[in-house]
Amino acid sequence: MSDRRDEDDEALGWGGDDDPTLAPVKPAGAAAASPTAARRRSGRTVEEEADEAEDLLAEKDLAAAEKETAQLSSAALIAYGVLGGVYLLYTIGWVISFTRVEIADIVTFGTVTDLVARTLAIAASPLWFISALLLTQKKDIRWTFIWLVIGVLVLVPWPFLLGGK
Amino acid sequence: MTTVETPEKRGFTSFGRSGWAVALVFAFIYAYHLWGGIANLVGVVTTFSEFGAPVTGGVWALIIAYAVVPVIVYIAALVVGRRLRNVGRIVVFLVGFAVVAVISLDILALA
Repeated sequence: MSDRRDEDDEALGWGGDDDPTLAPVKPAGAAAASPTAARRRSGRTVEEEADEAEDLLAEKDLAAAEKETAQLSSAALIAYGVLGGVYLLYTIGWVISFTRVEIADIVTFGTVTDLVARTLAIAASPLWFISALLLTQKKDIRWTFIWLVIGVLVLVPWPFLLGGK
Repeated sequence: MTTVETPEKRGFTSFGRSGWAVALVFAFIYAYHLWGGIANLVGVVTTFSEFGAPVTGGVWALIIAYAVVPVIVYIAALVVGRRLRNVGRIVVFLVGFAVVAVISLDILALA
């Protein structure tokens, strides 16, 4: 926000009113000194001081809000796309490795746990991807990428790549 | 506007009762994997001895790794989730549960 408050913008000020008790309430965090002291020190009116403090605060708030809702850079978008693609391929790899299993005729504890593990393995890649995005969204974007890259290393579908089941 | 947001350093001290309750529940859930791993270890050793074949170092490494994976992933999930809220911790544990399956199947593929 570059529009500084206009000196002539009388609608928003009380020009000429020197009574310090009528000064606009300063937002918290503005100059701590009493209005009269501030005026004596700098030679500026209370109103100007208050305006300035208000402007500063507004600008700070806006900068923080802009940072929070900042758009992703195109490089980050492309990286997300590539990583998302890798996770998708991993998921497909795990699905294919699941389809290679021959379901045994006799159902035992072992065969059931095997199927459970394979189902979980299919779910692992999308779960990791979504969780990494969700849990790091309030942190710096590089944390998101660090976790996504760790996932790419951990979730490689070796059973599929090695050709076994 | 007077609230000053101080980013809390959430270590293990911030787990609280509910945090440890979550950890305990997932300890039991992860025990499912651990049980499978130990069953596998016992089964493999039994099968080897039935055929009179010595269990080689490589096989030992694989079956022990298979049994230990749930423990390692559980500890990792505990550490990763230490600064998160309980919902985040639950998510991390759930992802970890699936990751145990992934690593176990990787080890099986290697064997």
